[in-house]
Amino acid sequence: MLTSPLSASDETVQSRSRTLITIENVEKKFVTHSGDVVTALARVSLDIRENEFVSVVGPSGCGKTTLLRILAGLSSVTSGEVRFDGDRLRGPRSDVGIVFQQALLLPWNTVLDNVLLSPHLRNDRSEKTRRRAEELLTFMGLAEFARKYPFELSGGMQQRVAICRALMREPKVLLMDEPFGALDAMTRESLNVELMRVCSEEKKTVLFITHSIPEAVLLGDRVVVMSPRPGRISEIIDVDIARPRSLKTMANKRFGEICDQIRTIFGSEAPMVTSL
Amino acid sequence: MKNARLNLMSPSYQVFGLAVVLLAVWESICRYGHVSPLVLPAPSGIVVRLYVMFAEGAVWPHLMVTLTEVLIGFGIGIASGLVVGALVSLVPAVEKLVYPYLVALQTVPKVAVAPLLVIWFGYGLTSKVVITALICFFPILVSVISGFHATDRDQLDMMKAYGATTLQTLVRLRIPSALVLIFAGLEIASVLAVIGTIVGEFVGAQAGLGYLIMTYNFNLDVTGVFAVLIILSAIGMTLHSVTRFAGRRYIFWIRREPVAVMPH
Ligand SMILES: Nc1ncnc2c1ncn2[C@@H]1O[C@H](COP(=O)(O)OP(=O)(O)O)[C@@H](O)[C@H]1O
Ligand SMILES: [Mg+2]
Repeated sequence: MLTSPLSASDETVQSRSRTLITIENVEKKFVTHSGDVVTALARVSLDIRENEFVSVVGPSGCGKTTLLRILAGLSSVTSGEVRFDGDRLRGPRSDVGIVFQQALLLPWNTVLDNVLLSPHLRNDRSEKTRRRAEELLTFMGLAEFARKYPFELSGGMQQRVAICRALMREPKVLLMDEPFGALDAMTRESLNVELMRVCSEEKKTVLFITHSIPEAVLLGDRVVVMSPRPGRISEIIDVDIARPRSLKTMANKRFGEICDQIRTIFGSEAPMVTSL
Repeated sequence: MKNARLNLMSPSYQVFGLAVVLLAVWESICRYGHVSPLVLPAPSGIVVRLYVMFAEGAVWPHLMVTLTEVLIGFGIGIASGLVVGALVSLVPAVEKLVYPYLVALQTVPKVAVAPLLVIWFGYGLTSKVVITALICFFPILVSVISGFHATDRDQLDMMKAYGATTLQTLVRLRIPSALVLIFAGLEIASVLAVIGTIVGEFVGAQAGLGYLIMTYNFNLDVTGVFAVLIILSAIGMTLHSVTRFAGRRYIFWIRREPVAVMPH
């Protein structure tokens, strides 16, 4: 074991934190146009602790987005229940920030106004809030783009703006659905580093969906491995690698072992996975 | 920019060059081809005629009448198209009740209704305004409805997740998204507006450029007809350009060149 006994993940996440989100026997079925019933999620249960970073990996179609949309309050469950802090989830919550696969910025608003979406919707147009948005943009290396429009930015920059927009809600929980999936490998790595920096700066509980095993392991305290048809959790793996982590962590022996372990899980379900 | 100016192969130079060639061919056919000006007047003759019409002032009152009819009709068409389109898109009850009638109405050729409208609203301004507004109304209506339908579902989810109310989603997302198609509809309507007014004037009028064409035609003054046709297309092109320019100013976030929108 390379984990130091006092590492952040050990101390704050594994032992001390309480459960923040409870996903209990959640099942989600869709009726398709042709009338078939698709089980996107079959009895999924998961507890997410406060300040924990949970990565979710799985092949496409295994219900990752469905799970995130349920947690975001955008989609209802067929059966089962989701609780935040003990309260049953009924719709979008103000303490949850979401980053989608596409940046989904409003093209007619400047970068700054996009980041300020959440305060603007609350009619908060204070100087203080605007300064906070500018600080966030600076933190993300976008200071000089505040007055530009999204179409003047690269895909990676747009996704960083989307992250600022989510952070602007001061969320306790950050839900991210393959936020870097559309980006090139180098941009993706630098955004991984930035995300780790954000999460170490302001404590957040994060559910991070990805189809990249190394990304899931690099970022996560735990990696939830999902499999399709019907979508379910096949295994949950603790990532016992100390923080702070960096891109160098990927050269770590333990890192490779965990990645392999996850690949083996997919491998054991080869008939399903390779058919995708 | 400087290089582009000198580049004789640039598309605008080519278009201009083609126009010069065509005009030259046309002029020489008329001069040396023994074509009667009663059939096809020479370009030079048309230009002289245009000059005379404006210099002597005979055309001004007709121009003003037509312009007034076009602009008022276009304005009313825009306003009613936007209002009805918004109601149909945003109030489900209105959509259920009114939309079938609108579709049925749209299939009626507006030009064929013009004589009726002249009987109802008289030979003056009103009948032309009504025809123009009616012709402009439908493309705008359709563009508003499809504009509101075109809102990105993911963006709607995003607004919902960020806790936007229905009104906030409308103002901050649905209306701006709809504008792209609405301006396309406005462009189509801007060209149809002139057509509407002229149809109205053909059917029954005492003034206006359409009336002038009918008069010249009756007198076999083909040069005069051509001169008025040029004024009409100038009006149409100006209205279209202004609409297009407004659209581009307003929907600046669409970077790609919009496809030229022309009515059929
Ligand atoms: N709105 C929907 N209607 C019907 N089927 C859906 C819908 N959304 C998702 N599905 C189905 O549910 C399954 C899981 O989808 P999704 O959660 O998007 O997977 P992932 O994000 O892991 O790729 C897929 O088989 C998909 O076709
Ligand atoms: Mg997905």
